[in-house]
Amino acid sequence: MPLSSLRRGTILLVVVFVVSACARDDPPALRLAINPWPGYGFFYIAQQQGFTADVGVDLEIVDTMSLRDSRLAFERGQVNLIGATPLELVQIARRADREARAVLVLDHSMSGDVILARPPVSAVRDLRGRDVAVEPGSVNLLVLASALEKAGVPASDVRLAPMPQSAMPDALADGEVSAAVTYPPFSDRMERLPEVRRIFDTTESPDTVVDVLVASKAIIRQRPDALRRLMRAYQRALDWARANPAAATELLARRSSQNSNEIRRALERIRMIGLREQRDYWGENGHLTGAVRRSIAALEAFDGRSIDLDPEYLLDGRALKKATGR
Amino acid sequence: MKHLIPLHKRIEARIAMALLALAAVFVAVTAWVSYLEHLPDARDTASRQALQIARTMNYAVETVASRSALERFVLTVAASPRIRAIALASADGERIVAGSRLAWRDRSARELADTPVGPSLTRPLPEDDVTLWRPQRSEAVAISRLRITDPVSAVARSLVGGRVVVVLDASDVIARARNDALADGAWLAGAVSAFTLLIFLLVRRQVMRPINRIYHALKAQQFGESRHAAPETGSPEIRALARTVNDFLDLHHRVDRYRRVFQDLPVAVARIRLAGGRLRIEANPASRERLGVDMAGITDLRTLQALFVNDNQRRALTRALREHGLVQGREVLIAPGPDAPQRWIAVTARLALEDGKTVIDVIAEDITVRKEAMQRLNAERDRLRDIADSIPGAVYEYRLMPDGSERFPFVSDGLRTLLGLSPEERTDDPGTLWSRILPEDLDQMRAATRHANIGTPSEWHAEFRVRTDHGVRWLFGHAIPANDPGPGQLFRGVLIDITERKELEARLDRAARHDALTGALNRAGFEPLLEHAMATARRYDRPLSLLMADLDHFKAVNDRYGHEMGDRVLAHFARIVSDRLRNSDTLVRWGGEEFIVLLPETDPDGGWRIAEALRQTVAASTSPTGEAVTVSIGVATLRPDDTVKSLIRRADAGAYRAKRGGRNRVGGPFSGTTATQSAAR
Repeated sequence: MPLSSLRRGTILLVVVFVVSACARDDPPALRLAINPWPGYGFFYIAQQQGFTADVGVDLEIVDTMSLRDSRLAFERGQVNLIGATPLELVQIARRADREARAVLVLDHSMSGDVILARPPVSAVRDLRGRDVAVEPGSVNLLVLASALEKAGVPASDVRLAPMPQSAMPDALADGEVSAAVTYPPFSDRMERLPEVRRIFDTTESPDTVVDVLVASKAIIRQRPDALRRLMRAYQRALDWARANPAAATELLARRSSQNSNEIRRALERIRMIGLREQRDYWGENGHLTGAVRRSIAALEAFDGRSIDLDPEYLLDGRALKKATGR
Repeated sequence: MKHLIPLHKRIEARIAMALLALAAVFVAVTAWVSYLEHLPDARDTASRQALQIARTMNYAVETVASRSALERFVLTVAASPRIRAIALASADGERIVAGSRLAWRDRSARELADTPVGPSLTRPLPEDDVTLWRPQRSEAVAISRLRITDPVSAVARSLVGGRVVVVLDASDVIARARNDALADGAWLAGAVSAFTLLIFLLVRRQVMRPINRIYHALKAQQFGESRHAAPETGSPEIRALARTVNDFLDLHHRVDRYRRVFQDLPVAVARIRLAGGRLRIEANPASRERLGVDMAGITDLRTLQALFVNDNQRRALTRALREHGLVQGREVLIAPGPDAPQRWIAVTARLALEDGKTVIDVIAEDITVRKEAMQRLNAERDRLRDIADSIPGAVYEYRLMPDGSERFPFVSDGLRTLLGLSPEERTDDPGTLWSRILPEDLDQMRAATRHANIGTPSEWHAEFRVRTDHGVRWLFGHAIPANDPGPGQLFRGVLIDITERKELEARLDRAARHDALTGALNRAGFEPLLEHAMATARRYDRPLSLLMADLDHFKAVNDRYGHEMGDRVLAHFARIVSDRLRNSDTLVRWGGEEFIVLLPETDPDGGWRIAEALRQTVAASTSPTGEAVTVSIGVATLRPDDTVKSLIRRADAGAYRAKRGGRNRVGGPFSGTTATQSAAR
C-alpha cells in the first residue's frame, strides 16, 4: 500500500532533521603539536608549501615549546597528532587517558640530543651526585639513561632537576644545575655559554633517539586516509627540502625563530627518515620497537616502577603501509 | 494517467502538500528567526570569552619572569583548538614579543598582516578593551591594552603600553546557535506536523471522505451505474453539498429518464419554434425513423406545409390550434417525400410559451397501419352487420351477469323488424324485449333461460309470442353458450319469426282433428277431448252428457241429388247445430251422417232437452235440397263406470232406438216410451 502524501512528507521532514543533525558531527581536524625540533619542521614546510592542501589534508600546526608541552597538549585533547619520541609515547600510554600509537618514523637523532655540562663536570661519570636538568617525562631521560648506562653510572646516583628546555640555559648559566640534557635549538644557545661543554651526544649511542609521529587512536580509526595523505605530503616536503636545501633551511629558521646557520647545523645532526626508509624501523625486531623498549627501561630506571607495556602495542603501521603501497 | 487518479486523492494530495509546505515554511522561518535571535548571544559569548583570555594574558604578563616563560604560557594557552591566534605586541607595534606561532617572534605587525592577528595589530590602540566580530571567519577578536604597572622582568617592561590580541574561533558557539535554532525548528516541526496531521485528519474526515463519497456517487451516475445517493455526512457545508448533489442526481436521473423516454418514444415528439421567419425544430429520432420526416432539418414553413397531402386537413388543424390552443389526435395524411409512401398520422399539438415566445409542441403518431386495419375492420364489421341484418330474424349476444342482471351486447337490426320497434327504442335493453313477450310465454321462456344456465351452460331454445304492432307473433330463439372472458355467461343466438310456421302447424292440427266438410271435430280429435272431459267431470263430480245424432234418410239424398248435395246437407246440418250449441259444447262428425255432440256440465235431463231442441231446429230448417231433413238423436249421460266406448255405445244405442222408433225423435237412456212420447209432441 503506497504511503500517503502526509506520511511521506512527515518522514521526509524527520529524515532531513536527522541528516542535518548528523551532518554537524564533522570528523576531527588534524591538529599537530610540534616543538621547535627541526626534525618536526618538515610538517611546517609541507603546510607552508601547500603540499598538505594539495593532498586535501586540513593540517593545523600548534607550536609548543617542548616535547612535554606537546605531550600535555595531546593528553588534554587539544591536538590529536604530536611529533615526539617513543618516550612520550610510553608516557602517554602509562596515563591511559588517551590512547596513542606511533604511526611514522620521522628522524633519527645522530647527535642532536646532547648532555651539556659546566665545570667541574667534564664527563658523564662526573654526574654522580650532581643535579642534571631534564625535561620531565621527555626524551631527555632516554638520553641521560643511555649516557649513564654507557658510563656505568646508576641512574639513582644522579639528581634530576626537572625544568622545561627554555629554562635550561639560564639554569646552567647560573650554576643551578651541573648539566642539562637538551637538543637543538636550545642546545645551540647553551653551547655558546662560556665553560659549557658537551659531555655526551647521540652519536655515541646512535639508536637511542628516534622521532616519530604519534597519533591518537581515534584519529587513526576516524581519518586513516587523511593520515596516509599527510604522510605523502610529509615525504614531498622531505623531497622538496633535499632539492631546495636553502629554502628549506630558511623556512625552518623562520618557523623556529632561529637563524639559518643554526638550523643547518642542527639538520646535520639529524637523519630524516623518508617513507622509503621506514622498513628497518618497523617489525618485531625493528629499531622502533627497540627504541620503545629502551624508553620503557629508562622510565623504569628513573621512576623505580616497572611498566607493563608491550612495545608492539604502541605501534600502528597500517597508515604507513597504505602510504607506501606496501 | 493523471486523469485516472481519483479526484479526492488529488485534492487530498494537494491539501497534504500545502499543509506540509506551510509547515516547512513555518519551521524554516522559525528556525531562521531563532538563529537570528541566538546569533547575537553567540557573538557576545565568543567576544566575552576572547576578551577574558586577553585580560588573563594581560594580568599574566605583568608577573612573567622570562620571555621563554611567556612564550610557553602563550603557546600553552593557544594550544586550545578554540584559539586561532594570540599575539602580544610592544607599544610601538613594531615587535611581536610572544605569539601563538614561534615564527612570529620578533616580527613586526606589518609582516603579520596576512595572519589572523595582523589587522588588529596595526589598528590604533583604543584606551578601552575592544572586541571585534569577523562574520566571514566566525571569529571573535579581543584587543586589550596591556596595563602593566609593575613589570618584574625585561620582557614585561618591553610590553608596557603594548597590546594583546586574541582571535577566538567562534564557530562552535555559532554552530551551537545554529543547532539551537534547528532544535527549535525541529520541536516546532514536530508540533506543526502533529497539528498539521490533526488538521489533515479532520479535513479528511469532515471534508475529503464525504467529498469522496459524493464523488463516487457522481462517478456512478456518470458511468450509468445504478443510482447511488451521496451520503449526508461531514460538516454542515458538506451535508448541504451532499443534499445539493443528491437533488442534482435526482434531477439528472429524472432528466435522463425523460430524455431516454423522449429519445425512445415510439411517437414523434417535436417542439417547433418560429424565430425571425425561420423554423427551428427540435425532434426526437422517432420523427425520422417512424414518420420518415427529418423534422430537425425543416427550417422553413413552406416545407412544413408541404408535408400535408390534404390542404384542408392542414388548414383545419391550424385553425383548431389557433382557436383552442390544443388539438388532440387529429388524423391527417402526410407525404414524407416524393418517393415515400403517404402516411396517416395522429397529431396532438398545443401552443406553449418558451422564454416568452410561443412554440408548438407536437406529438405525431404514425397510424397508417392502424388506420388501414381499422378501415378493413370497419368494412368487415359492416359486412357482418349486413349479413346479420339480412338474415330473417335477429342475431344477438346475450350476457347473464353474475348478479342476475342481463344485457344484450349486440343485437342486429333484425330485432327491430321482428318486434316492429321504432328507431328510438333501444334494442340492447332487455326490458324492450321482455315487455313484448306475452305474459303466458314469459315464464316459460325464463324457465328455459334458467335451465340453460344450470351447471354447465347449455343450449337455450324457446318458442314464445310477442306483441307487435302487427299483432302477436311467434318467435323462436336458439342460443349457444360462448367461451368469453367477460363476466357472467355469454350466449350467442338467433331469434326467428316462426308465426307462419306456427299458423301452419295450427292449421295442420285442426285439419287432423276436424272434418273438412263440416268443420266439426272428427273422430281422431274427439277421443282425446272426450277422455279429458270425462276425467274432468269425474274429478269435479260434474255431469256429462253425449248426443249421437244420425241424419235420417241421408242415403236417399245422396242417391237422389248426388254426393255434392249430400255434402251440402251435411254442412247445413253441422251449421245449424253449431249455432244452436253452447260455447262449451262440441260438435263431432263421428262418421258419414253421424254426429256426436259433447255436452259438459249437462245432466240427463239437460241432455234430453238439448237433444230435443236440436231435433226440432233441424226439422224446422230447410235443407239445401229444399226438403225437410230430420235427425234421430241418442242421449247418454256419463256413469261412474263408463269408458269412452261404453258412453258412445249407449248414445249410439239411443240413436238406434230413435231410428227404430221412427226417426226424427230422441232416444235416450230412458224408456222407448219416453222417446216416443217426445216424438209425438
